[in-house]
Amino acid sequence: MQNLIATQVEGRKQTLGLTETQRELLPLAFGSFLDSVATATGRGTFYNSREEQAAAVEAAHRDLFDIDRDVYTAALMLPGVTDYSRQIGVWRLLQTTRDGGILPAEFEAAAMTQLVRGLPTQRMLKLFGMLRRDRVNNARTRRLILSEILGADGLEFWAVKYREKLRVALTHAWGRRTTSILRSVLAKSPDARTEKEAQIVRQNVTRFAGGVSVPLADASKNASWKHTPRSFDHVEQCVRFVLGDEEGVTLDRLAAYRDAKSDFDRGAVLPPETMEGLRSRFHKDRTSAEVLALTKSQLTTGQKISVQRKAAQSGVEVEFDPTKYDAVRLYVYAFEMGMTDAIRQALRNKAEAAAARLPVQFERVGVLIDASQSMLGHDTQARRPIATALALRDVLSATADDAVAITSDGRTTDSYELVEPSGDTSLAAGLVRLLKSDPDVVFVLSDGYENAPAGRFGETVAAVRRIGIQTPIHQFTPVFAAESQGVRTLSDSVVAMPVSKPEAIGLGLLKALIESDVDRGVAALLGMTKVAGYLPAA
Amino acid sequence: MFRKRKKAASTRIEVREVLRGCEAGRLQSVGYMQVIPLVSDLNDDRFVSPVQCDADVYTTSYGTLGFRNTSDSVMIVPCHAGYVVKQHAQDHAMAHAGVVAAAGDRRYDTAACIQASQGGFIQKGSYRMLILPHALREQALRKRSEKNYQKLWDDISVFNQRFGVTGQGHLEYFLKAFKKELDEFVAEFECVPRQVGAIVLIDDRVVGIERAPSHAYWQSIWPSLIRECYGSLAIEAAKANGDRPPDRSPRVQLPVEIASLDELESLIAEIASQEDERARSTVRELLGEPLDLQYEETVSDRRVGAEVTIDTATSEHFTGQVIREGDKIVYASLPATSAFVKSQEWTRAEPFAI
Repeated sequence: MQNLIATQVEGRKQTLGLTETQRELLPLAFGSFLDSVATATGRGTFYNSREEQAAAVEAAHRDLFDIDRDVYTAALMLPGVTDYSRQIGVWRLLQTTRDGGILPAEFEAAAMTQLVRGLPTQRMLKLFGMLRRDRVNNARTRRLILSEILGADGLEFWAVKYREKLRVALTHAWGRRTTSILRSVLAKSPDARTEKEAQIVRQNVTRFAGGVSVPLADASKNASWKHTPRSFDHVEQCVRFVLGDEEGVTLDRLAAYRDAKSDFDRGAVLPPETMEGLRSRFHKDRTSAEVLALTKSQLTTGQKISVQRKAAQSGVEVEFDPTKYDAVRLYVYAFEMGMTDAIRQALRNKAEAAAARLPVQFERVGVLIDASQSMLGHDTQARRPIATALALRDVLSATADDAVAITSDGRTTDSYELVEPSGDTSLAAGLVRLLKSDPDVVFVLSDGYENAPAGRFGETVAAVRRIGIQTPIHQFTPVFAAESQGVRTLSDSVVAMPVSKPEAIGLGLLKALIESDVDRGVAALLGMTKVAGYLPAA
Repeated sequence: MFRKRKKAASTRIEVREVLRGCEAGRLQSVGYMQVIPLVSDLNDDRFVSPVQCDADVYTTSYGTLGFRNTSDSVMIVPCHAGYVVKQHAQDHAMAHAGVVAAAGDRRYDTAACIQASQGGFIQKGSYRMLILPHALREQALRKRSEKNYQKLWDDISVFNQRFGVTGQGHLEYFLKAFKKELDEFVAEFECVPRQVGAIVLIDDRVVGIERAPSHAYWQSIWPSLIRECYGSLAIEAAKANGDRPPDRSPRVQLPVEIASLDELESLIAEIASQEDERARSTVRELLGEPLDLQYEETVSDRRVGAEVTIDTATSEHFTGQVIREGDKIVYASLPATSAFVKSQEWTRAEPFAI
């Protein structure tokens, strides 16, 4: 598998200017970093508090960043890196001035834009909040915040949904004085502004609003795009609204927000949580169920899955399309609401598609699932570890013509079916049972905590090797064990690879490659993250 | 609800009464600690823990710990439950178990401060519960009737000293110094289905018997028991072994020469069955031990239909408290006496032999 990656980047490895010290330090730091970024979510786990997680993540980021910030930046772009890891990665990049690196400076700017645009909105706003908290306000930061907010297609929707967070972020980027000036200037119509005032608006608002430009009707023939007065008005109205001025706003959602305070039905175009906030302040006689019924057309894809229970209780039918969610989320949902044929089919399609993208195929795969109580996960991420394990089971099983999956308590389990975690952890007997079916490879999906008794799995692997059976055994760990700054291994001779979603399996392969050959590994990293265009000529 | 205190009356039962209705589950073993789960189909959901019902906890004066039970079940405050809070307030722990009626509020003026030079009272709220370290429990129980908030300070100082922790009378210093190790114990030992109790062993020595009224109750108090109470004892065992990291290999190991997967499979099963039998025999050895019960109080809650008595239990090897409803044991917490912990013979199993 390592060769599959390496051959794609062979020609580039000489172009990387890694020093000897970097070569020496990279494997350990990169391994620890991957363990962290593939699974860390910023929440507590069954084992570790949120603070412990944050401290371990911080250490892993710092170590790799200190070795080379370009390798660090590229690593953040790997598929399977969690949004939380990307958030704190961009925060770190913006905090420090660029000084050297193996790639040109424009790589980092482009990478940061790509990373931020890939973040869910709330995560992006959290990032801006972190930048404000830590008083990071350099030119790069200001430009990033303003262009990502003012250039966003969904600015109007954001303005009603994240009004306060946007206000905080924009005020941080502009500074209080400029914000105050802008508020006054934007209250005037464009015609009533002085030249200086118009310049302030252009400099601080208009030039960042490229993302909402619309084609002029007569300009479409030569495919040129120009900002129309209407598009600027759109952004200006949103900014005014965010800064607290609702007077005279005409955009649909902004006006609805203002009017819904007195007219409940006007809230139909507002996000449900925004309308719920208005209901609790201005319409106390109305119920949450009424809000859900009124705003159900505005639910995001993520909300549609999360409100199903509430919707069912309230007798509101909210359309739910399982094909739009990732496999882990579908399993978490199925644990709560029950498995259906539609979900099962969606899981099958996703697993087969993910397996087809992996560079490996097997004839026969053995999957051993740790179904002990700890796989339930922490309250804040309930059932996420077992959901991840089940999604992995499906993908790994789909890579083979024949697959056997069993649980730590001896149950045989079919793909696309739920396994309820309970009890202690004993994996040794399951491993032997799988090996007896003569698979090409065995995957163990476990958090790495064994207690019945501890150490039996490692001892069994050693015994298996002494018998002469060399079947590869891999451990995938769907939970982040912060106390060991990485994932916890069941055996010294089995490499544990962290994974938070099935598509992150490739991270484990990259980790192994960097451990065996730093240059090829880094070249593979740059190749995988599609930053090859920034590499200097050989 | 009513409570009554009788004159001291004494009853004698055997440990088998405490364990009635339970079976030994599969032994869990990590490092120095082993746990034999006690599983049972008996579940009495009329009783909840402060964790289960999110009880409000507070102090009104030094040495007075209050509990507000907002649930419609009777709340059993586990023996030696304590609270280390992040407020400018003196941390406190119970010197015994407690029972608070449904929707009731009760203050115990026999509680102990576990943070010597800190002023302030704990504001009413829900906090993480701990159970006092094993080494302090015997002392706390002995002083259970004393109304003196300073009563554990010297014991905590000695306890801290044993671990090389400075901080006279401050339990939180120990908890901070060994946070990582204590957290690991919670991670490593898992509740099994139907579990209502456990026999805890350190280095093969029985150090405590715990039993809860229901599986839900047990699940809610287990992290506190394994973390501070018995976890502290495992750390002490590691210290006694020169701070060597615990051996993570199984106690009964596989032989080096194994010819086939079939043989390996049967060996794993056989060792597991040996370990199970060993767990059962450990329980059997304890069954006949007589426990002297000294009556403390009766608490009755007619709405819930419960009348329980709290007794302090002492035997040659254990000292703790049991809560009974008639003859039925509802709750028991029986840590081994420090003398017994120190005196127990090395009882490691014979090496495995075919």
